[in-house]
Amino acid sequence: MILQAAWKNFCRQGLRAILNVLVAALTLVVAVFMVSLVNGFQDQSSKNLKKTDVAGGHYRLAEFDILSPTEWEDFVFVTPPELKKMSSDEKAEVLVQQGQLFPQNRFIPAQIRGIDLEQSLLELPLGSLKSYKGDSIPAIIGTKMAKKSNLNKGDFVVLKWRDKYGAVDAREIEIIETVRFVNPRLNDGVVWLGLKTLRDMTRRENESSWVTVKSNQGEIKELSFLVPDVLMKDVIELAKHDRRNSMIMWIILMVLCCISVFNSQMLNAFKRQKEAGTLLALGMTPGQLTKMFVLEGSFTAVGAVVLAFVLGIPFFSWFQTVGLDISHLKDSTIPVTENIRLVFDPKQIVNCLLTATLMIVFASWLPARKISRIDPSRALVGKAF
Amino acid sequence: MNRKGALRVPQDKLRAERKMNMLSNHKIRSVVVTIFLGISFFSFQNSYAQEIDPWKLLKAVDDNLWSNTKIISGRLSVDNGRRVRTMSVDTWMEGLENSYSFYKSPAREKGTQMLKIQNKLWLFTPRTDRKILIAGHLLRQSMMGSDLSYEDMLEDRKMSLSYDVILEKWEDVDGVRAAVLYLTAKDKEITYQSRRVWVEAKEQVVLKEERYAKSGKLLKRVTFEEYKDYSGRLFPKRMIFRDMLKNDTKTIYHFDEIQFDKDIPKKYFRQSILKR
Amino acid sequence: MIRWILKGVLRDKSRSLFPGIVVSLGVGLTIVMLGFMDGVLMDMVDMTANLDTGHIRFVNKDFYKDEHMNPLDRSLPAQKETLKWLQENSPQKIKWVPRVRWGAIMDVPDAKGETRAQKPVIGTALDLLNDSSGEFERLGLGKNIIEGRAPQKPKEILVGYLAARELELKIDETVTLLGQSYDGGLAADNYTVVGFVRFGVNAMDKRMALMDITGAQDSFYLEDMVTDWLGFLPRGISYKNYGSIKLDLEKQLETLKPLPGWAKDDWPVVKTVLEQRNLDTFVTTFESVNAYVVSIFLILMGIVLWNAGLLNGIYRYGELGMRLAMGESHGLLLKHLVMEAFLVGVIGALFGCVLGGGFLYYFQEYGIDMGDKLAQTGLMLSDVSRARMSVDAFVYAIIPGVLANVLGTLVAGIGIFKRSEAELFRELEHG
Repeated sequence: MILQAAWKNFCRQGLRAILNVLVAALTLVVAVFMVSLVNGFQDQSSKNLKKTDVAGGHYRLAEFDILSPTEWEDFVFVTPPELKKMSSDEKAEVLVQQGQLFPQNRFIPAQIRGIDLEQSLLELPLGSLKSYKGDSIPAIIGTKMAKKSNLNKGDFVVLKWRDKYGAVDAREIEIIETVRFVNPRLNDGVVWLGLKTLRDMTRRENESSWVTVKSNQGEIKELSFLVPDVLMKDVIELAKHDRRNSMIMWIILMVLCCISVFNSQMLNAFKRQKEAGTLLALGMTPGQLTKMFVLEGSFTAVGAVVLAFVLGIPFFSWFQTVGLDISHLKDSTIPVTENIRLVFDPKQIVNCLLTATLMIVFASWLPARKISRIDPSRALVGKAF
Repeated sequence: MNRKGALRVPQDKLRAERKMNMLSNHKIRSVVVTIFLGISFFSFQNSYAQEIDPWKLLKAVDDNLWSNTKIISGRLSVDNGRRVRTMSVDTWMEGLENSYSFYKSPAREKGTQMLKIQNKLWLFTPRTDRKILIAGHLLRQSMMGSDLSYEDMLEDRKMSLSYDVILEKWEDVDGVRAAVLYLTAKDKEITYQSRRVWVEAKEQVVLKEERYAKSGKLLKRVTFEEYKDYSGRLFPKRMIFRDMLKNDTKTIYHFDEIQFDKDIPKKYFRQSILKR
Repeated sequence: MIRWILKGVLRDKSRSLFPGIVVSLGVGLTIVMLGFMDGVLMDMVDMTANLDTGHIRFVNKDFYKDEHMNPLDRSLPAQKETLKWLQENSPQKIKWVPRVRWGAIMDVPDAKGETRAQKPVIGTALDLLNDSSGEFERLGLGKNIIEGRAPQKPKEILVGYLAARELELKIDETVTLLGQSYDGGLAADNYTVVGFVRFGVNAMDKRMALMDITGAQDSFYLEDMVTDWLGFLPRGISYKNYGSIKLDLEKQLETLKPLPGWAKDDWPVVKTVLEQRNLDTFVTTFESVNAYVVSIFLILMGIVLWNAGLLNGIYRYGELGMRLAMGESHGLLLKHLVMEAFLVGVIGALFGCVLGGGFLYYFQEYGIDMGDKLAQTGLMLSDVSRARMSVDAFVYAIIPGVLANVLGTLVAGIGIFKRSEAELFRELEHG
């Protein structure tokens, strides 16, 4: 009976109820949108990182640190047979060495990165290194590096490096391509060569700085296995940061929504004090009365959830077809260049809906609590407050 | 060698050159004769080359450069293309293994010392009042801002011991005929895997040296200028170092005064000398 | 008339209190929301500016071109004259500070003074000994020094905590820096390690060292020279103005005659923070996302306030019935209602501004520590969320705050036209 009465009362509010439901529903849609957009960003950037660099993890020496270029040559290892025997779609050997480029007699420190050109585990736009027929050392650089070093396709530039034994070596290399990497980390300061070329250049037969693998191959002597989450720590943290910011925005939105519900409930309490007084006089307990008012408010939450689905589904379906364009970020350090699409996590959505419902119920309970405490005799003459 | 400008040219080589000039003066255009002359010149050159053992020549060069002991007063002037900085430095050397340098000027470099014992190098600056071992990646840094690295200094060794040598050709260096010796490192750990040395054969002195990357790319050029006789030993007045990958930079080592085979007290080559 | 309505609004709390609170909250929340969004963006800009580029950077052209190598020989001489020129030719609100970017080998001795460990480090020297420079706060050293203290003498140094860990450094230990002086000579000097610093950026924590600028100038023989002049603007000035400040300075630069000590090829360039480290691309993206979020928020707030206005209108149907019965016209009533709503809106908005502004100020000055330990990751992100006060936020909040309230009242007021006095009375009776 309370439920029915509450429903009737809710319906009678008309436009006010609709507006409350609309605000709450839009808040929910925005919340789900923001959370899913961050998911989409994280998903896409980790997908790109995995596709171009991380894959299923790296085997490397524990001391190797990409941030210490002077130590790169000290922490290489001979690819062990366990990894060597893996097929080219399951592993990619990478050798990284320090070098210096001398474009137009300028000096630019470079990371010389050699990658197995037969590998198909990582998707890298390095095909032309394989098909090169010229006499020089073929190299590919990213667009960002090209800009920094003022080098273009077809340019020759002196590259200087040290071989395994410390002998200094230098040769002209030919920039056969400048490419746009999906993952900008493969761009900054990197000169890409074929693994065999780099190994020959540095007399490091079979040596690698790390071996990217499709999946963990278990423990390998002297090597550490770095799982993707460790290798992608910064992207995960960036998403965490974004998620935190969207959380703050969502809380602000929810507070706004709750103010709206609270406002309606307050008015209800004021306007319907005679009704409340009558119901109390007829024997309804204060608890039942509170329940009825809270139920009325809760219908806003329920309505909001329903409306959120009605509004959200077509909106999200449309958004998935276009995505969020971030093409202008191509030169930044974010490993995403495609349009970002939403990734829905049912658990997050349920959490979000549940939190919103609870907050709305709470917002409707506050004024209802007040009405249950009124004196019926005063309420009947409209002077309870 | 007593000369101000060009080196004295060997007599037999001069004769050969005169012969060539005479031939060209006659303007002999016949193909047959040209071929004949070509062959005769070649055989002449070969016979001359056969007289020279490139390794012996290189060893003689080494012996001339590396005496038992050497005390040098000199100036190191570094030109980075924008400004020239000159430091005066005294160096005591014992064979190849040991050397000790003391920088006298400019004021801010005064008292800086460098000690090399065998294959270890220490740097001492009065300001820090401590000796720093130059090792690992620090070796690759520029020495006192010059075109030389500390590694270059450590690698100062007898070329005749570290490299295999062949006589490649003869070439004029500033009007002086020189044997071009091509050196290939015996050891794969030597920084410059090949060098080319232009040697005036008669006096057994180096006129020019080029250091190459393993690929053969020219990295550094050293020219030796104005040889002077220091009590029977020929030594250049200047050595000019150039990094060939950089523009407009050079380092000149002026040798103002050199004494050979003087007794140098042992304390010069002990770590204890490195102090204020 | 207005005074009469104002009296009514102020005296009858039931008329004004609740709608006023709703408008205040709405406006306050909007200000906080916009300030927060702006703050997140400014945080990103400021972080880069504080640690690295300043909001406006005045640097020798050749240094800028090869800055990855810290070419000290391209430092800008005439420190005092340059500062004077900058102060005279740029807006007063810019605070100019000198910095020196350097690179060297850090050599750590053992007990006998022999080399124990070595590592290449890069660093920044800043005006730390001069309290008025604000550099201590700019780099957040109060919080970022995780052990030890800030330098109090020229030859004291702070080392990135990861570098310190690698070199097994201890506080009060002496280290030697070995680098190149401005003229390419050898620079070697001893420093006392006084603290370990953590910026949360791996590349910095692993290789960075900080010292006072006078120490660096002495060690690297940069007498009267600095590598960078960094200009800092108050947080209230939006990054959108940096471009025009730069242009003005560039225009002034045209009139500058080379200062004493400048070499022939010494000529400074002006760069804004946005032009460096790819920041402009971030800002563009953020702005577009921001625009979506702000419009959605404003729409939602509009609806809420409209609803509130509507409720207030309905709330007073009884009173309106009585006034109609006493002979007031429907039009006049509506006019009064709208004016009242407007006044309530303005008063509410003012309170909202105070409320939101106050919170925002706290949020801006002190921030809210989210405690998610982001600083321990490899990102230039802060654990503390900060907002930014801007006039924009207040304008964006006040206009819809007032309008939506008026609009809601207007919609509710339409009901008055539809209803007779009797109906309104009845609604008052029955609630």
